[in-house]
Amino acid sequence: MELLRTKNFYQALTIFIWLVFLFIVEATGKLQIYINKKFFPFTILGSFILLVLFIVKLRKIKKEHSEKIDIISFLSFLLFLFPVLLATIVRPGNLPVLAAGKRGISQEFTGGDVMAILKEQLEMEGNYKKMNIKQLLTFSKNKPEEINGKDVSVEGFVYKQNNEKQGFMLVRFLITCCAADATPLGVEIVYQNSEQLKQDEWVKVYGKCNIEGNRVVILADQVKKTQPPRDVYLY
Amino acid sequence: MNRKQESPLTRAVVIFGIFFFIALLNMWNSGNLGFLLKNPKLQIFTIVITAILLEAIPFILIGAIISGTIEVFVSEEKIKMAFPQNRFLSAITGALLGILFPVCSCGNVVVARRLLKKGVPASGGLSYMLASPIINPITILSTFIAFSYSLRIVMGRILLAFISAVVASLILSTKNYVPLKECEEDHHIHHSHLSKVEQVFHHAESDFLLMGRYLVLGAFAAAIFQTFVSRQAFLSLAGNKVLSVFLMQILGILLSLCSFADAFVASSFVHLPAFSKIAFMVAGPMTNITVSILYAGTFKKSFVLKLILTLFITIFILGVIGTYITGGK
Repeated sequence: MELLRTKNFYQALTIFIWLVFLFIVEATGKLQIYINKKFFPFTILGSFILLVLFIVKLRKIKKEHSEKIDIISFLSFLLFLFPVLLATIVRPGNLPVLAAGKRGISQEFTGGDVMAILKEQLEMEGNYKKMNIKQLLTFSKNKPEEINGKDVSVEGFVYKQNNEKQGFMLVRFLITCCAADATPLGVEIVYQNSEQLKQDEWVKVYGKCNIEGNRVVILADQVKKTQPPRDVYLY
Repeated sequence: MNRKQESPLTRAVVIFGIFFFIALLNMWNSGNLGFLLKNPKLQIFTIVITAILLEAIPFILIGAIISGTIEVFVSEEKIKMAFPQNRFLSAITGALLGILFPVCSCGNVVVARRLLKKGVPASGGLSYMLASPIINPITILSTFIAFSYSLRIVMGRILLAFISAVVASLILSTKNYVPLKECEEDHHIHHSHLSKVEQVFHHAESDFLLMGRYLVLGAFAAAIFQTFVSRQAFLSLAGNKVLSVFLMQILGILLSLCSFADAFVASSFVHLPAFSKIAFMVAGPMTNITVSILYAGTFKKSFVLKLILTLFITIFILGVIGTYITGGK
């Protein structure tokens, strides 16, 4: 019981809680809600460093007499605990549509690489070329002739700003590092039956691509409801 | 600790134990905890604070290991020899050091603190801390890609970051001194019975626990802003060139994005002048909420205020000059 009142105990517990938390988000695949896959190796490295720090801390607890916990150290422990508790209790899903509204949807994208997309073998779904919103916006910015008038299929979630009846915005979040920098990329969809679609619902749109000024507009032939893909974000 | 002090602490532990138990129960049960937990604002807040921490903590840990290694294996003499002793040259060297050691801003503060403790000239340590999150190969490359290989934007960003870091570090290190906060843990690491490698990890642990708590506070503040304030409404206030530089600087501070990623967000503000986007990409990594709270864990409060204010004014003036030189494009 004496140990429970020492500073070393709470410091070791802080490290342990974060170690377990990192392990759980990595093992359950929840990590991709929060950060870009490119950064996964760093999180794994972080877990490894925490593990070593924890082992070294345990050795220290065995070897050294620790001073008793003071209020600052205890508050610091609670501070570290707070985000872990929050994430555990709230168990967030994907970024909700509200975030797209708050951040403002971009219908232009300058960071894409046309040549890389052209090298990719884009799949066909019947007569429709399967593309994502980032690819569409990259083409519309750099090589609009590649997509203008072409049949494409593209998926995303529905965003309706003013409950429009003749169409909606199809949106995906683009993530560079983590969800804090998620930028909503959107394509305007013209669709007669859009009142049947709900906000935030995942759909697949099949239709003809039109370039109007700098913007891509898809005249939808068909809109199918679908489940969110395994990778909900674009990278 | 006597019994009077002990009892509220014990009670607090019990209360948090109960909360933690409820949380664990929730993890096991696959249902939902009700309407409140599904609230989109709570969801956004939770995702953003957790995302910032999950992304930054590995870099804080890497920074802490580098910092511990410097403390244990590199002597003060060697560190001093690596930096020119002239204030101006030292500031320039520090500002360019990130090209060799690309650590993002969170991990970087830990390393800079250690360098300053080890006797690196104050102007060099400060300019390294300020410039290296921007002037490093990863950030430069990501800016290139985000802005369709625009050399103008990349050079603008590097120049603005370089000048601001050098100017601020020269202004704030007139007596070759920066008031570092005394860290209690630093005095409690007894080395006699520890191997060198163990010492590295003890220093790393102390750095992680010290800076980590400031990181949580910073991530909390940034998540509040991202949850409740609309970027679009904020930017609609940007009526003219000068105001757009000012507002983009404020936005960079409030959003607290990583310098490796902020160029992609900046590039989405397509209708704003280039230099207001550059001001966003310089003010963000140098003075954002998360980093400022990390500074507060490293330096004395009055110094942090001076540092933020000096940087803000310098970046603003340079941003406005840049905007007028480029005709607001």
